[in-house]
Amino acid sequence: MKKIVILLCSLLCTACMAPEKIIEMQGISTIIGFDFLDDNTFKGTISLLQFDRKEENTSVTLSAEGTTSKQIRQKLEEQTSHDITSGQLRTILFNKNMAATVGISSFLDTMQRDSSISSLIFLAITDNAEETINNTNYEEYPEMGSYIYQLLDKHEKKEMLVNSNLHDFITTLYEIGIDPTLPIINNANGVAPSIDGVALFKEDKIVGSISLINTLYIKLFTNNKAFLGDITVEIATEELEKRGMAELNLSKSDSYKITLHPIKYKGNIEIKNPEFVHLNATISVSTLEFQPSTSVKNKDSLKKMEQLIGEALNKEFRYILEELKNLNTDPIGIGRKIRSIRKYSHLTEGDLRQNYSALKIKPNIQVEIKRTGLVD
Amino acid sequence: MTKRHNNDNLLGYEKIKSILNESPDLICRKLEVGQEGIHIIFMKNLIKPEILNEYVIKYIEELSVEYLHYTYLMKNIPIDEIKVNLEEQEIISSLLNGFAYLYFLDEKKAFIVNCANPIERSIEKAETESLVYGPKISFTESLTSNVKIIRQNLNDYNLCTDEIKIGERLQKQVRIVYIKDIANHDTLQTLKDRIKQLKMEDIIDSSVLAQCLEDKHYSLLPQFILTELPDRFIYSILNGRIGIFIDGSPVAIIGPANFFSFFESTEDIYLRWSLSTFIRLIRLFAMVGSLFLTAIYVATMTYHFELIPSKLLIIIGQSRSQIPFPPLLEALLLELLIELLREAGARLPSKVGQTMGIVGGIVIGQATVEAGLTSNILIIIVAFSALGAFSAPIYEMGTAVRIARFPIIILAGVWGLNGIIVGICILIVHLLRLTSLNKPYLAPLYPLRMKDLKYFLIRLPHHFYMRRPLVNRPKDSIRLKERLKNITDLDEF
Repeated sequence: MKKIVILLCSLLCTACMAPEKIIEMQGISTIIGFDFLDDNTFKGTISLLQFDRKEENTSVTLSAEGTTSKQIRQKLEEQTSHDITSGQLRTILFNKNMAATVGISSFLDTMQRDSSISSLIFLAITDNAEETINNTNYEEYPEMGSYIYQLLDKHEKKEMLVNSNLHDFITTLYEIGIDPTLPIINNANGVAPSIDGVALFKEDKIVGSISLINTLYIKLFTNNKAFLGDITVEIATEELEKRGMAELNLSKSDSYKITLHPIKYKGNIEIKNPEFVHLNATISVSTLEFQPSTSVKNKDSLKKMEQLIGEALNKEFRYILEELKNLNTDPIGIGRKIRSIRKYSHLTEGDLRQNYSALKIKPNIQVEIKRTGLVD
Repeated sequence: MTKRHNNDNLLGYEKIKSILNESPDLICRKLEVGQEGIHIIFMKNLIKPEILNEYVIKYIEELSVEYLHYTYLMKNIPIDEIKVNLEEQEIISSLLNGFAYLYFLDEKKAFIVNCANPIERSIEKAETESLVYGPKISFTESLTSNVKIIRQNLNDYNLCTDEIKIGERLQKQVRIVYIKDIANHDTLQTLKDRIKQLKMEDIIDSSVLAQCLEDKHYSLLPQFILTELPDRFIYSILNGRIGIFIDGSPVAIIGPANFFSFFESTEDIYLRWSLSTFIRLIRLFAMVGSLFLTAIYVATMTYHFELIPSKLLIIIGQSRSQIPFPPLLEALLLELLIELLREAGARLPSKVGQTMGIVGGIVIGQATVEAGLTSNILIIIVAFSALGAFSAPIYEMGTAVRIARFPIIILAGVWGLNGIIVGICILIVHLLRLTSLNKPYLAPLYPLRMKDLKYFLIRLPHHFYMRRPLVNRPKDSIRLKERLKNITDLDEF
């Protein structure tokens, strides 16, 4: 009995009690978006779940203006009878314009410190956060927050996206020698929002974007377990004929297209010296589709085909790398790799950036066709 | 007449009459045969008249005169049970048990013969513990027939049924049933000592005795198995446990019990191993669910909505939106309602009981949701909890789970999930400290007996059970076929 009293006291006297948060009294936010107005004021838009069955919509959106995210929140609280809580927050949207001019790290810092916000929530970029959240086309999902969450989650699960949650963003942001990326959500009138490429960051500001498919070149070197997604390569017919692959019986169409399904891959950043870097990767693929249809049986022609595909991929990769260098952003993390070598570990962020624009990068992607004629 | 016997402890009719408060049932039949006067004193309603007429009165009257004396009659009267050398107390209690008192006036000697006619129920199907497979027979209120059932099914000369008498006013016969070369001696001695030390005026039923014998009286959990199934009783005894019968109770006590033995049913042995294992695990899962599910609902609704998966959130939120009570009150209300229904259902005659189900299930369930007093999610959870508690094969364990649920719900309402953790801690500490007949209650898990896990948590095919479970500390833990041979040899001897 004495022990039980002591136990009760130890909890009660130390006020070890969670604050009461009864579910129907909470304004449960699922998505929050920030837009940039002039004069350092921001507009925050939030989607709250509402549980009244008589209402048609299961969510309400609120907007407020303020200079800090907490002030916005304060003003949002004025507009509702519920307590606004962020325990179920799944996505934070940022205005593209804002991300390009002001930067988003100041917002993320306060999010990261909020214990009720999971560090696994998604971040995304959109043209106008308010309009995106107010978009009423969200397929069969109950409200916009869960729709965008599902959209991003699906793409992350299928590894079409480079990881884009708060934790990943903060890590890549503060780590020297690698720059973060975030998905861009496209919002058009009358249709549900969709993913439209990946934004490239230099520090916390957007400098450019690449398409979703082209992220495969980034994933090749950053995440060894990612699912690359099918690769479609276009090869000029002339090229094929030049290599003496006449047995393919090609038609006259001017280019030949192959879709490949990667089975496994291995990427390696090889540092020759701080000015010269090899990006080596081998991808094992199975062929899914040929346009126009052909059958490749000959081992020799398969070899040649592998070479051709490899060349095509390298060519495109070289082009992308050139663009990355122009934007001076390093999502692949070449700088990090350079710095990981003992004798270059003294290099600072500034050194690496300077170095990066002059860096010679040699892409070297090799393709192995492991299987053909696979039945899915 | 009474004068002559004043110094004797034998009683005359007058004396008996005064002791028995002039009971109108007391009858004295005075026989005058030859020179001998014999009084036959008995209680009218308690004897079987045919026996008294045929084997006592008629027998005496047909005897020739030279045999009409105490010694001859005592030796030759055609009745199985007689008592001689009587004490006053014994004469009275025997009379009240349906014996007839034969008093030889001239010789000043007496003996009593058994003419009892006890009221007995016939042996029927088990009601509270019903099985799909297996024997349907159940114990009755008569100790004699209960022992008979056991003897009939367990023909072993080592089966002991030790008799102890308890109760000061209402003396009751208690039989301790065990197999001498299996049951652990220390456990047996503990049990006997406890029974002998009982100072009770009366013990009405075996369930009362079980409560008196418990190691920890304040525990919520039962520490003895109460069963009305002979096959369960025999199975337990064969595994080294000890059984107790008490006269007048159709329920037998089995001990020592451990926590998991309350979740095993003899049906587990009759069914195939795959199904039995599955069912056993389901029972344990149901028990855990029954204990904690409502509490988890209360905790998440009050403190931790972050834990709800986003797809469930809207459904749960909508069902909660119109409810005027906080989740704790809502849950307690519904849990009490279910308990009320169960209690009403148990008290009502079985024909009305069906109506009760309809009233409870449809009217109250549906109406409370439609009136917006409770959420339908909670109805599902509470119904599951009720089902879970009833799935324990031993009714007492089910009741314990039902009671233990309430403090955990309150803890959850006060401290959220932290409260549930506190509840679990207290529960585990209690389970670890609890003993049954000085044997650990949480036995095969703590202290860990890997070999015993197959007896209590799961069930394997029968050829795995070559030993008796070690938690009961049987004297002889091996059951091999060679041993069976030896026993038959001995029997022939």
